[in-house]
Amino acid sequence: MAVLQFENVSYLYGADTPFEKEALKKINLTFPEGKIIGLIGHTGSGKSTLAQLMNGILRPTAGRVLLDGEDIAAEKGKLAGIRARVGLVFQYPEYQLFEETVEKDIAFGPKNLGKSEEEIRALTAEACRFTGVTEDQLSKSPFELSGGQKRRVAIAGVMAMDPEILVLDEPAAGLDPGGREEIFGGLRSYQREKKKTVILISHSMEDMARYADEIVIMKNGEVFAVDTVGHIFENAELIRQAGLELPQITRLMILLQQKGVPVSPGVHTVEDAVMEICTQWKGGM
Amino acid sequence: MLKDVTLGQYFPGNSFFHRLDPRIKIILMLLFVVVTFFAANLVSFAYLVVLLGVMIAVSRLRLGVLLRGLKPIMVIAIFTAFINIFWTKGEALLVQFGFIHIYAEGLWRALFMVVRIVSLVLGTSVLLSYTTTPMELTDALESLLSPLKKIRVPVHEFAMMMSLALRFVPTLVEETEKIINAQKARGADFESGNVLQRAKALIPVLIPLFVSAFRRATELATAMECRCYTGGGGRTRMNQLKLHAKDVAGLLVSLFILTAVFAFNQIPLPFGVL
Amino acid sequence: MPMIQCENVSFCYDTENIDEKNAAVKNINFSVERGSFVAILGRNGSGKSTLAKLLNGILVPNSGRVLVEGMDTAEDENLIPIRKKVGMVFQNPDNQLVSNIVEEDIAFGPENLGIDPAEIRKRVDRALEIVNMTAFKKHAPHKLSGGQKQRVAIAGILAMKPECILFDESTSMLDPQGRAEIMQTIRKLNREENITVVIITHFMNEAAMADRVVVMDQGSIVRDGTPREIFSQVSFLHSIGLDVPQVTELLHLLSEDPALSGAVSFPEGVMDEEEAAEWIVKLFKARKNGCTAI
Repeated sequence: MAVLQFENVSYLYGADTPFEKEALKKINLTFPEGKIIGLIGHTGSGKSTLAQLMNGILRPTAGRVLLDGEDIAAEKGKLAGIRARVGLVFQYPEYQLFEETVEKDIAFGPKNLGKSEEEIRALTAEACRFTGVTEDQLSKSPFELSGGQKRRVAIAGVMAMDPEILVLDEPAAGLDPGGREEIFGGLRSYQREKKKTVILISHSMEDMARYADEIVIMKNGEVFAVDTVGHIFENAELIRQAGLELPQITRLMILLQQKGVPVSPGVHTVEDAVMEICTQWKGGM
Repeated sequence: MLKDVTLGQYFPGNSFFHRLDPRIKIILMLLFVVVTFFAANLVSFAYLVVLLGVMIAVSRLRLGVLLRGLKPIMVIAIFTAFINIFWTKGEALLVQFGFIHIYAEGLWRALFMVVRIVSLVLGTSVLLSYTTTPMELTDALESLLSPLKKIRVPVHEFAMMMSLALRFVPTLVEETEKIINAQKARGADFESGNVLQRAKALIPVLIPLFVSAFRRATELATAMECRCYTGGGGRTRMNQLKLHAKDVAGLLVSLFILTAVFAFNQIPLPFGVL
Repeated sequence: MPMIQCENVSFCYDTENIDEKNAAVKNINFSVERGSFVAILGRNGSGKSTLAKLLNGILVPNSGRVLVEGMDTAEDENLIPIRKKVGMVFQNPDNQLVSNIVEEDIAFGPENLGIDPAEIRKRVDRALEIVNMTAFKKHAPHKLSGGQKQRVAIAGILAMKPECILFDESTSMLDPQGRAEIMQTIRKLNREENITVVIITHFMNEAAMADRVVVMDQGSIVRDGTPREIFSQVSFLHSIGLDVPQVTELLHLLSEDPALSGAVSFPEGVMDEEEAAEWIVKLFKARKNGCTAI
């Protein structure tokens, strides 16, 4: 496992041009290890920029990004090593597929890292298992697959690089409920089984509430809040201040509390709400 | 690097050049190109530089933006200068070092070539690409070339294709950058190896880019059909091109200013040969 | 006469072997009434986008026919009149904008129809006003947010004065804010501008805003009713890969929970928090009454 740390990191887009924009302002942040961390925030809050700093695609304008205490931008030659350790899946990653077959495409990343044929085969099989890419798809052209299937192949391609930290920018954007569930469910089993750190960027508060362990909220290029999912969702006011919407179920629980029903407002999934209501209901008997 | 491409990027404004009829701008731009090539002595080049300065001031474009547009052609300019300095033979020998002979004429010629290249880029940017919307440009081309319709040249279709290409330049540039980054994240290496290896490294960028461009083109075609596009026949335009008195006056004045270069070329030369 | 009518419509992308098995849309019978707000709901690959493309003649059925105000989409000479009446907004906002200037893009449709320049100007200004983008009329589309681009695309259709607009997953690439902007605009078009609206979506909360929800699965229409009727079938929707709003699911689970032993029988298909809260308050009241009785 590896510790990813941001130390006073600032990032300017288009420095010294009329379009200059400060995307990140002096970020100080340590990502917890071995957890699913949800990175949320309004569009333009700086979360995608943060993701691209994590494996050196972007370099900080000021400050340092540290992996296990070492500055990832210290030496140029080291970046390949960093990319092996921090895997980044961009938004709509299906648009990066290019190989003749799905199998070759998934192998592109691990091959670039110089892994052996044997390792690549094992890593591909494992990545396919977590992402739900099936055996018969491996020999197909990626361009024959449906949108959701392509997405899973693209995620498998980064997973097969066997990174210590896997960062995904909106991995379920545009997918239907079934597709979302498959992707997030797969990522959760990946994290639980391999004990890696997974950083999920998403707009969906419902999905974050279900799948993340810890939440980082970004606002206007700054870290607005960092806490466990439970604590974050208990604080409705905080979420509203960040310009985000509460999951519908949490809104309902707050409403119930206002109406005098003895339920905790910190509930953020349907399953928990059923449990909470039943317990409170029986408790009063 | 890709961010430096400003082709097809219009900078909104309300300057004289922004308001000038785009057809006049095209004519002026062509004239400007011709004049730049005909400028032949120090006086004409100095005049050209001053003229360019005035044009930039009038256009009220930010200098930074213009300079950024120059970056991609810097290599060509330096290369040309280099060739001219070392390969021009003349009479006034300045430096002699082994086989290297540098003549004053070479230095001057190099300077003139650089000025020529820079004025070509800046002049066309100020006159046309930065101050004219692609739609205006298309309309102007269509209007200027419309006599060719009589001999069955598909002028409208040509103009439409050009304007769509311009519309999609920023989108595709952004997309290319995204794909490069995505492949970098998968460990692709674009920066080392020999020419062949580097060319090969581009495959993972080019294939997705082509696929995406085709997809966009197909979707765009459908969207245009849904908006009842059937080619140029029977189309009207919201903003119709109309020549105003100020446009004609502008053209005449500019003609006079530009052709002055031919007069300046006649001024006795301070450096014999040039 | 309905705005749009589908009679036994089937469509197959693979034109070489047209048969029931590989058809994207199978034997669809359905119509869209004038002034209505219909949501076509289904998972990816259910045939919902294919159906949308059949409704304004982008695709033409292999068998059966689609009539727009009585005009058959299979007849070439009907295509322009049909597209004047039925506009379409697509998924990717970038791929439907033709100009580098917002207002010139909006003018594109009316220009194609050969409308008088002064009238185009009026329509463009009005369309900008409806989608609330007047302040951006001279901007370049690629510098706008996704929601703003999509509003420009809507304005481009509005300027053609359509009677009906189809939205083919027009919110699926947007962030929550952009999605809310578009849904608000769509509702306004339907309520205030009397435009018939058909949205294709897999978001339940969007479908919940319609007057009528048509559910598609494997190329067929499997349910057709009010949002409430549709969302009361929680297990069915789950079985075809769809979700329901969280409170709908909650009440559904509570009514099945043995612990509550049917203290209150919840109605199915409740979609908003207010109503759900009222029912849960009733549940707790029933408990109090129960306690005093014991």
